[in-house]
Amino acid sequence: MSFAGALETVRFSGFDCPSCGQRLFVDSSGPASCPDCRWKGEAYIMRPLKEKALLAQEALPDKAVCAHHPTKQAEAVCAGTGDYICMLCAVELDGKIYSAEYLNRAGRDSLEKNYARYMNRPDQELNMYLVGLIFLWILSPVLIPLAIHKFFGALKQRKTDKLYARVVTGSHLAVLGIFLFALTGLYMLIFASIIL
Amino acid sequence: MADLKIAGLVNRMSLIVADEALVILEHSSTKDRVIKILYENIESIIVWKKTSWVSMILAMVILGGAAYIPLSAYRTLKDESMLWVAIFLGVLLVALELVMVIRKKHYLRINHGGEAFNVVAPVFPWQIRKFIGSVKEKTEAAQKELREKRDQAAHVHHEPAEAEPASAPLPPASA
Repeated sequence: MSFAGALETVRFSGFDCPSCGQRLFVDSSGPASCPDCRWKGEAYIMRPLKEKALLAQEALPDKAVCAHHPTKQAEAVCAGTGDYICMLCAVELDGKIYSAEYLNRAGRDSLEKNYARYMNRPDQELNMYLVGLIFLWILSPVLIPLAIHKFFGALKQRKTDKLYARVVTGSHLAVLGIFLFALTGLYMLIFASIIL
Repeated sequence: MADLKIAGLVNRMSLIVADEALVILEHSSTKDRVIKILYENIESIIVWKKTSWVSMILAMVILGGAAYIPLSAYRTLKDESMLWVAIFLGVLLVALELVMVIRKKHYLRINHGGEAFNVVAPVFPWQIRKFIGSVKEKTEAAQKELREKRDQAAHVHHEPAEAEPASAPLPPASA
């Protein structure tokens, strides 16, 4: 990954007061307060790197050429690498311009890290089936296979998804499993005694 | 672990200090919404706290009222068990009020990439301190690493003979 001049360290200059919205200027981490509304809190200041120029008009010299197509005139600056790029390479994403090359390489992964997504929670569904098994025992022939399916689904997801493994601990699933198989055994005994 | 688990009346949320990003999980019945905030993008974290006076007064009214009933019953019936029930409820009320004084509502605002993510966390102060400490540590490490990479790249692309002003755009990386 290249950082060819497109990134610069941004000195954090302040933040909006959470109470009245006035801009408060703070240089370093520590207690902060608003002189107008007397809001008090703590501010932890970081030093991120930011793109210096995102638009072609702000940074492009007249004779700049595309980094990937040297015969074409540059029309934009890639927000990921800082390379000059032509219209063939430019891809607009989330209001910023990136080069197709950057998106095809590590950039796509880096950008996707910022996007929200959803994580399935088979353990939560298993919880609901277990509650259903207690109160709607008549539905147990349907609920038990579904609950077992969710239990093994949760075990599988724990192996493949690091985040899920961090959220749902092994002991949590073990307790659910014991509860599920105890209920299954109990219902099998009840149904067996009814049939026989 | 320095993760923060927030269990409100309606919303449940987890803030996980993962290796590459701060992961926020908004729990729902069958799915969790996952929001990742990269450490390198975090600009600042603002924290402030408020004591929930409404909850304290509500608890005082409900538990105080509940303790008053057996106390008045003890006065009229002279049944000692009623006194013990009243004492138990009184101790419970005092303990609850103490917890509410210490466990304030913490408001967190994480500013990242020009956006702000707000979290309301009714947690103990030491939990929030531990959480912010680890986020700060990870953020500083990520931003330092990024700065070093940027400096290395700038060193490779800049020839020492040509002195350029700091604000001038650099030539394309692959050129």
